[in-house]
Amino acid sequence: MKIVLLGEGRVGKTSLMARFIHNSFKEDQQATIQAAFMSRQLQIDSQQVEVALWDTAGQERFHSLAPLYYRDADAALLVYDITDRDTLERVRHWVKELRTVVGDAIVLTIVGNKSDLARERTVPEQVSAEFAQSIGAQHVSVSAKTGQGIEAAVFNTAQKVLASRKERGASGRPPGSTGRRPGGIVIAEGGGGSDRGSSCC
Amino acid sequence: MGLDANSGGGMTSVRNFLRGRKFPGTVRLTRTGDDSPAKDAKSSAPPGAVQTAHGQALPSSTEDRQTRSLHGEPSTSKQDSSTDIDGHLNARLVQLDLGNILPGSPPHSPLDKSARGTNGVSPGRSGGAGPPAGSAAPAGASNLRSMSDMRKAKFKKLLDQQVVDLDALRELAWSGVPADLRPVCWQLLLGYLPPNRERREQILERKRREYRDLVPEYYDIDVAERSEDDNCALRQVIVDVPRTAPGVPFFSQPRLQKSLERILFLWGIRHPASGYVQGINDLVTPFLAVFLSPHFDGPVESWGEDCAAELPEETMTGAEADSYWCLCKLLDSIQDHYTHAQPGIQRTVFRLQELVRRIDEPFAQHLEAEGLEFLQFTFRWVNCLLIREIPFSLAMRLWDTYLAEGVRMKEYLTYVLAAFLLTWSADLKRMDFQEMILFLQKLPTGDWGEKEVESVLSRAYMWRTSFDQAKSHLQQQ
Repeated sequence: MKIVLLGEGRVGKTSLMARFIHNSFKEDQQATIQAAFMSRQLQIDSQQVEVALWDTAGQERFHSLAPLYYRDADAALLVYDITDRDTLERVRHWVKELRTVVGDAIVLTIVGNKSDLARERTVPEQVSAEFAQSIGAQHVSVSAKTGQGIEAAVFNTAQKVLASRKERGASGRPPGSTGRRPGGIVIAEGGGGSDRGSSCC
Repeated sequence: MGLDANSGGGMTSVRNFLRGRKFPGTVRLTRTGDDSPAKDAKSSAPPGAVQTAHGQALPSSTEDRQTRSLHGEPSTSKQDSSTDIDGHLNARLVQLDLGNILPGSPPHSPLDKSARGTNGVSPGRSGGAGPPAGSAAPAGASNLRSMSDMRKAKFKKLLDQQVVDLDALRELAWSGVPADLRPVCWQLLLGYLPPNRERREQILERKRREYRDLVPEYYDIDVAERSEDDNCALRQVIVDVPRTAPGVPFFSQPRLQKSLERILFLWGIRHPASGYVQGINDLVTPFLAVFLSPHFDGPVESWGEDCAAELPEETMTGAEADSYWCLCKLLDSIQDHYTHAQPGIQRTVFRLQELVRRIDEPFAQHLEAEGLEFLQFTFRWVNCLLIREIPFSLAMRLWDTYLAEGVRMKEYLTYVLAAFLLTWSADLKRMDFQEMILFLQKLPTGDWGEKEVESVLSRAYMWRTSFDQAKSHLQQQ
């Protein structure tokens, strides 16, 4: 199962992933250039699921690389910083882009990070929760620093992916199709090398 | 030197390179009978055989090959499958060894076996300073010191000229600049300082004043006076500065962070076509470290967390201004790496992919079969010029060669990236997609020393030399 993390720079995508994979936290996490990959096994309803997480770069300039990571993702964690209103705006843009490019097949979770800084909160929880509801996404509050909420955020997202696969049945992505290659970039069969440029839309 | 006129094509550049140099050790130059390499552009192998990092020679005819020793000595090298490519390589490596073998340097890669294994002294020019013939690699420390002293003397002699011969400086700096001469050498190589000694002080003063004037004009102003875009850019810079080179305590000092902040913000607003892009913060760190290095001892990692606090204001602002201008010069040649959609990086990655396919077809096929795209792991390498992939102190060594390359840096970078990647070709071939991506995003370079970096630079050099002659190679697009 492939999950991609998207969101403005410095909202804590890399830290969130480091917490989920290594249960560690670094205050001065280097800015992510391009993307980073990590994976972990999860047990969901007696099923072993390998979750491949793709952490992407937040700066707008790297936007053109994003499709490389989200185009075959099963779910996206759209991360914003609860102390920075602009970062929720960026999440709205991501939702639009994903719905346009990937369609409804992708499970979305809106993640408000830095819940440890509740006193500096500028995004009311209600606003983001309502937004999440309006697009049929889950909404969670987490803190990469303390670890609060992160397990649940990924777990619930993965669970929803499994549920929607079941619902979709045969028409959906066949279960396990991305298992061997969690990053599985689809290469057009027989297309040869001339289609190469298409990776950057 | 022992080369005669019938060495054509591929040998010419090596011969030019070797002219007037002194070598400890035997340099073997070999070439195939066919000197116009890769007539067939579609040929997947470069001229002759390319020995990869792991010693698998790609298919090549081994007949009709001439081997000669530069000094007429029988070669003692074990690399019997040596090719013309090896000849280029050995030449470079021997030259690198001249100045850079230090006692206790980390184990070297298999590629420099012959450079180390054959210890003769070049007759004639070296004045007997090299190690005695037949002595094993761990030569006496005094010999090594005297070699690096000799090298340093060469630099000093060049730098003492009224008008520095920049071509000669490039040649010399390519193989590494002594740490204490880096500030002036880098500034000369980048064209920040003029080659003419007489004009240097005046120009330095003018450029530093110019920079000082930029600060109140753009930086030291109220938020309300700045455009929304500029404020946005400043916010981005402020967010990135504290997380720049997090493994190097030197850069966590408030004084250094302020300098970084001004340099990056000013660079961004003075280059609106790209603006500040993440990763440029990494690129400015070698400049700051080198230009402040005369004030501290030892490698940058060992400088105290509070060492800059004592520095006079003028020293700090001088180094900051120099770093700013040098960053401008460095990025001038690669500005399209940072403009919208970063076309320069996309192109470099595309070329890299083609190059790797030609050098190591099975490796390229393996990546393809596993669905791993070059863009997925090499983008950061290009964006940060590999600085994040190796220990920080080695970035200086990398920079020596980049800056010596000058206008050719951009082109050379593709070869460096290929050499870097293929260092682990054999390991990667045994991995699946997931193992590869995990491996590539955290490469085992933590214990690398200059030897390993130089091995990469050497292979890059030899590949470029051989591909340069195959006219059709990367110009197809």
